[in-house]
Amino acid sequence: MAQEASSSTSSKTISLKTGDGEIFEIEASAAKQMKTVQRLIDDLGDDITIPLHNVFSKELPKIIEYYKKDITGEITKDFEAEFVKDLNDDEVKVLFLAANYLDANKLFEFLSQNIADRLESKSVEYVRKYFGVENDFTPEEESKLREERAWSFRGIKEDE
Amino acid sequence: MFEKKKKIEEISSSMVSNNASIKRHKHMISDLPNNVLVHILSFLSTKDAIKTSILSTKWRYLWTYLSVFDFRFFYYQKNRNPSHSLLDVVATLLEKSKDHLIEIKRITVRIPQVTLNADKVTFLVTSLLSLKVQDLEFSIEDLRYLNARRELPLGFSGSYLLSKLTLNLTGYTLNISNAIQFPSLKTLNLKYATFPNEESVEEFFSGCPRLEELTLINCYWLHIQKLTIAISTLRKLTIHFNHYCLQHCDDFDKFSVKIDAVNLLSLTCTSDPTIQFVIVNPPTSMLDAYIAFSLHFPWDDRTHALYEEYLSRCAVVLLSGLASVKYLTLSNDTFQESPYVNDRFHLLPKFHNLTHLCLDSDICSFSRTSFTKFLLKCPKLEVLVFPLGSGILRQDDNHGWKSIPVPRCIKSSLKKLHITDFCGYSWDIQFVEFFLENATVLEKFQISLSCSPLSKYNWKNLADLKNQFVGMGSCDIKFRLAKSAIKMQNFCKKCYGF
Repeated sequence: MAQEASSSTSSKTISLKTGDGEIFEIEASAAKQMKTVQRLIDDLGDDITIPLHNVFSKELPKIIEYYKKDITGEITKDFEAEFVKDLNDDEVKVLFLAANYLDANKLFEFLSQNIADRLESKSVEYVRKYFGVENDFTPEEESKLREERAWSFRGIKEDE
Repeated sequence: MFEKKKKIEEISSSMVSNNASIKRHKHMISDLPNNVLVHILSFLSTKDAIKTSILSTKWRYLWTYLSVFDFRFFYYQKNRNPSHSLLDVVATLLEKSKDHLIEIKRITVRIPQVTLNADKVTFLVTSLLSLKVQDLEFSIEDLRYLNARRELPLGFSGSYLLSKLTLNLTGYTLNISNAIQFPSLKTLNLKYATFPNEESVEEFFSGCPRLEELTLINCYWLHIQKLTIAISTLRKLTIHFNHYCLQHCDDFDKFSVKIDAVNLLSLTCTSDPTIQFVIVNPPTSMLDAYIAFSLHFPWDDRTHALYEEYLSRCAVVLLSGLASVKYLTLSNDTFQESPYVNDRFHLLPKFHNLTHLCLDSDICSFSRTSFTKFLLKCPKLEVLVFPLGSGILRQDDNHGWKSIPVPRCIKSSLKKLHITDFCGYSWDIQFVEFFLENATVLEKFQISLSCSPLSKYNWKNLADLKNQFVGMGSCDIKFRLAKSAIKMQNFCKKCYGF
């Protein structure tokens, strides 16, 4: 049975299904900004619900909110500041990983900058935990490095 | 339909198996591919990026893959040994970058206080130049050692990738030995660099076959009588001399700069005291030139006169090589005159392309006669800015001036006129009326009022004046109050766009 040719008008919406089973709608033009989603659309067609196993109902609405603004060209510095204002560091991290998975470039760049801003002057232990890094230096190696780079460990805020 | 469903299942099952591994690691950023991690690092300051070297062995050298490094932070912290830390970081970068193919876009190093000996500075500069970097800035801002003249023998053959180089070597003499090659260098900014002789200058520039922009500020020219800047690819030249530049020159009075750059578009030439510049092979389509020569005031009138004579000669010689220019600004004393000096404007060539002329000076002391003679050489002038001021020559030349034919540019091409430092004297008014009577295509006329206490206008007679002027011409006349602190340079830059 022949499929109807999708005419890619801006009013066309795509259904996305999160890893925990919820379904959200986005505009086709917003979906274009998420390369992973677009690839799936290209493979599966645009009238199928696209499964996103690695994105969950907690973060997807926020991402959709961002791209809703993007397609109308309304993303300003104020909007971006407001967007992340009430998010804690872990929430930003989850959004960031989702943006990476979705290959949503603009959001990815914005969140990278936000994470960099948040990590400025944080302690080494905090950053390790945040990135999920396991410290595999020997105690001798680490203390030597710390001594060499002592200059970089000034001015560190208390961990929250 | 059936095939489609199968396809969905295939894709989603493969995704699940990929995702499962991610799920196991609970979405760790650290497990993302290295290039993504380096991309995250690129949003951090260089300082914070280097700090991540301590996270784990995987992260230890990730920062060396960055493409932009700003090392200025070393000196803005309470670091006991900033220079040593900088050396350590640069050495690590040099060692690691040998292994990867990354081309560094930009490195910035600014050292406000020198605590290194010459060897270590040499090591730093040589290391930085050995990296695969496109844009390098290395600046020592410590003026305490300005005349220390420590030698930097760079045992270094050149950088094939370097496109922009900024070196401010305050006090360190860069010994350009053999032929240092910079085959991709387009922009070179040198400040306080020392050239030991004429050969070193020639050798250096011949090692930069693609140079388009050159800036030489307060460089030292030892044992050089004639400085030759012969670069055929050069588009933009900025050169600034101060007192100290020729301290060690054998014969200051005979020093001259020869510029041979037939493709030059833009020239900025400031010199205090004035030095002779000669342009050979005059460029045929220059865009803009900014000349600022300064007079020095020796204590007696006779030497003053000789000096003015010299300055006037220098100005005319230089201007003769700029005949193709479109926008010309003469600043400071470049256009000054005194009763002792005969004007030399008949020696100038015609400026066939000149559309914008700005005389940017706080004091006006040129006669209307010589000014009008200059305008005779600018047949296509459209925008003119000059000061009226309370110069000494105001009354000189009523007769001489009136006998000169009205310059063609005033009659047929002058569109915008900006007269500054208007004091309200009768000769000011006369000069304004002269323009109003003769400038038939004038569209905009701005008169900036002087802040001098000698000015003769007040609000009442300004209104009368305005009415008087408005009646005379068909252009739009505006009076403006000059802000007392305004430097005319800003005026000129604005007035090109008016």
